[in-house]
Amino acid sequence: MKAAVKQWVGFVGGLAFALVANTAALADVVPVVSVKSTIAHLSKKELTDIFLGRTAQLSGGEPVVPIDQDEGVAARDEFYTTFIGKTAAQLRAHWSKIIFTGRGKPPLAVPSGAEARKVVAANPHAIAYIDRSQLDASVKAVRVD
Amino acid sequence: MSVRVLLAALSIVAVLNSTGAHAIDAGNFDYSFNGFGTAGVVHSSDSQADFTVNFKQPTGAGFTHSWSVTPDSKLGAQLTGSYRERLSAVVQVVSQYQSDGTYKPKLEWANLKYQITPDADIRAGRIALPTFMYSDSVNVGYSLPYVRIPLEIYFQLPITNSDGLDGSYRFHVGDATTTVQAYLGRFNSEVPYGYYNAHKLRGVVTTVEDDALTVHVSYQVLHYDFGQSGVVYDTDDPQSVLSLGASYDPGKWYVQGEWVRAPDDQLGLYYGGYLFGGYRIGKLTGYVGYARTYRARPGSVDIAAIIDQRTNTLGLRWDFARHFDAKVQLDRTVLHGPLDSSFINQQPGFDPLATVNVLSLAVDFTW
Repeated sequence: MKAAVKQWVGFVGGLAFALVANTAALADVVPVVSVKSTIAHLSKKELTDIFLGRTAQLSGGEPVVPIDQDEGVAARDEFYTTFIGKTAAQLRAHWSKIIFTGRGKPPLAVPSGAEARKVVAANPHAIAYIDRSQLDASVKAVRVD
Repeated sequence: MSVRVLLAALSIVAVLNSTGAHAIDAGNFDYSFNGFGTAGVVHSSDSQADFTVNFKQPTGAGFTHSWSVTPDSKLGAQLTGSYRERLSAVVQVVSQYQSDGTYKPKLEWANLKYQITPDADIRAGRIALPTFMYSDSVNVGYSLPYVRIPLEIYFQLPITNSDGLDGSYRFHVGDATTTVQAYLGRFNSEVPYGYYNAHKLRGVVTTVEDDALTVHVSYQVLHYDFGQSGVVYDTDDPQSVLSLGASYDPGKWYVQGEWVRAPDDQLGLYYGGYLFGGYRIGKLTGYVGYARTYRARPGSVDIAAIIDQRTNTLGLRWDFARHFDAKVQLDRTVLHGPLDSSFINQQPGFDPLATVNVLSLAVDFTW
């Protein structure tokens, strides 16, 4: 009986760990680039630097342009909490320091995932995030480590 | 510049950008109009002096008004224009309580920036000095975790802007992003019934960001002339400020601190510092802090320490709506005298060794 309980606890614990560790992989929102883009995968650190305005180019020197969805859209909040680790309020405080010290501006924002997909498909340097269900042949998902 | 002309220009842009901070893209040109503000009220338990938040405020909370809106209330508007991502111009005007007792708008930022590479730029014109971790966005309440930068360090900085040149270079080492900014300029500022003019103003600031950790190291030097009520107190007095700050914010909680060393040839060597921590639950952030400043040794002028105090702070920030936050903060300041420069208009009944409780309520917004 004790052995069975131990096995069961181990299974549930392992499942819970796997779920937590792979939250990003299970999220509905996924970063996307054009099928013509050179990006196949990015580290979480690289993705964060791009969307928080800390870098405007990839490691090879190619330019990268992040595209947001409008404030208030669920996909935006999910992207930032899952991949960047910031709430909407923290993100706004981050950008307010940058905007009001003339250091830069936040990414261009579009009203929906469909719009984001259109912008990304047309621009090989752009990167955006859309719902998994919105993936089509014009864009490809970016694997994030 | 005529305020009326400026307001007319801003209102035209406001009409064009009626839903707030977005850009008009007309080919190579990009414009955006943003703003920020704080509506704040402060109550001080000591009615024998006025609590103020900087050298420019002629009255404050306590003596002049038991509850006062003057210390923290302000409104700012900024217009940014850029041409092909290379050349950009920013103009920021801030309206806050100042030395002549009015809220006349003043130019806080007005410069032209040339982006040499995506990581390097150079600016000419007016900037806000980046002396402390939050000082270049000191007026944007929304970007601060507390109601105001602790006065124990903020009072070490008499000058808040520089008219001149500045350059910035950003590079990546491993996982860290490092930005180095250097500036050179001068600035003339008004204080109540007087002036505080800085020249030979220069400094270097290095900021390193790595995931949740941000480290800020800044060294600034200036020479100043100060006169008040017809008396010339200082001419060409050298002052320097060395500031080391760090902030660790993994998300659910944060801790941050800053340490300042500010020697002034005539007034003496001052130290200041603070340590703050906060914890977030949903839209609420509770925070506590401790700040201290004192003079380690006198300067060439026979004068007592102009500031020597410590403050314990307890506060709550509520991000109640998009673009807004509300804060309530209690500061308990123990004064060590004898001059206590953060409290002005000291009355005969003022105790230079008093303990003062200051309650601040503020609502910040940005657009």
